Amino acid sequence: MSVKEFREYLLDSMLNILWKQWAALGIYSNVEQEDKYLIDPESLLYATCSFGRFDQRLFDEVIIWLGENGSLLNIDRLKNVLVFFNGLEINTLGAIAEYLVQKEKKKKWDRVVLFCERKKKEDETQDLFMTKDLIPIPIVGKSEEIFLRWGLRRNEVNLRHIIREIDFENPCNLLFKMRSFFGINARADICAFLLFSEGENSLQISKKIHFNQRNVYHVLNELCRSGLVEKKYFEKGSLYTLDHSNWSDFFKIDKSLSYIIWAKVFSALYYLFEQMFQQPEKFEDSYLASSEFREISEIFIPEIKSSGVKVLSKHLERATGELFTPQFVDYVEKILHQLLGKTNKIQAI
Amino acid sequence: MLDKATIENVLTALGKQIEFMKKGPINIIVCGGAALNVLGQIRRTTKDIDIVGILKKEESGKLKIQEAVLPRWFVDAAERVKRDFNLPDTWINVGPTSIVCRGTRACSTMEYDP
Repeated sequence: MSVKEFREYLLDSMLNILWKQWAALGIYSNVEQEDKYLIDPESLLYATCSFGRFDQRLFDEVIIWLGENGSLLNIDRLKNVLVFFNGLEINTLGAIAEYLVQKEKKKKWDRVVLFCERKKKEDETQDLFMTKDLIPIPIVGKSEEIFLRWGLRRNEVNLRHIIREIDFENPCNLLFKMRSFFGINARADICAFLLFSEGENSLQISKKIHFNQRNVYHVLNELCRSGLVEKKYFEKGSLYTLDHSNWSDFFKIDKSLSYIIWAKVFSALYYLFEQMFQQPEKFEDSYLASSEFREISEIFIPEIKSSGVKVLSKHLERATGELFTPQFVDYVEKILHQLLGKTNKIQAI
Repeated sequence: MLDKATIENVLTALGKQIEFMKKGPINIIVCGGAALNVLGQIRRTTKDIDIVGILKKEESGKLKIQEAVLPRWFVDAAERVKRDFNLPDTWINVGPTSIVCRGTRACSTMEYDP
């Protein structure tokens, strides 16, 4: 697989993952719905702001979805998740949020507009959408004013407003079920996390669910008071757990469902894609491409490992010189296969 | 350990890194096992590449061998090659450059007359 083919494969796979997850959330699509991983809507939105620039239909469908279901998103968490994406696509998010405020009259997004304005990048105006060959898609007709204000050129937004309701019975939408039950706050996300955890302290939990530790600590202690969450004391601190079987029965949780830290997965994959996309000349020579992939892997692999995606990377350490590229490509391919729910390439840990 | 093919491979890689950084060129003079290996004089492997000096051409056309004080970009490029090929820290080093000094206080250059 050439580097160009690899980049295209990565982009296609990412768009596929995004479509699968949005389809599970109610966007009409002919792709299979996500059925393996718990969906993280805030991380999914950032990933869509990034990869969605290569798929206008997905991008616009998501604006419709946000207009209809945005109340289920947690704005504080959305801000916290941005750290993983290094402020990337802040203008895209700002433009979407302002569109929702002005055109769809969704005042909740005002906070996002203000937040994005503070971090806005004053770059030259660029085309929002691109082809998979990285060629900007020209605008036919009038440009959308709101997006132009954020330095993004696109055609006028023309939404169909056809969308299904979120299927709360789909196990992947557990977080939405929890938020509908507990409210849009850390409590819902903490309980959802604990359902997949064998016990962790408040710092570890806050890092994995992207909430402020003080808030997480406070909520955990409140939950402990109810007796439904347990605090176990150890020499080095305390761990929080809950009774999986009771909670699973009550919330009808599918045991095959997995929890991974999507913010890490999406940001690592976007980082890889961005490097290949922004500096393609670095990948023209086969040795330099290997060297670059190795450089990328130093950030990429730890992020993937700590996200909960279990794919072996041992063989990468032994690959020297140009041999690194095929091994790295194979590693990324296995990750994507796993995320897409294809099992033929997965290695057991 | 470095054999002839590996030495050529890692030096080519070093050249590519330097070229990509838009730095160089730099003419290094290599001595010891690596030099003899590439010239085909010996077949045994060597553990490193010894730089004895840097060759500079003056405006007069005269060539001068200077003490090997490697620029930052060279060190950075060598560091990347080290990482890429899993080489030891001193895979390319200026250990023997004191030969150029010949014990003079100036320790700067000596003329080279091929």
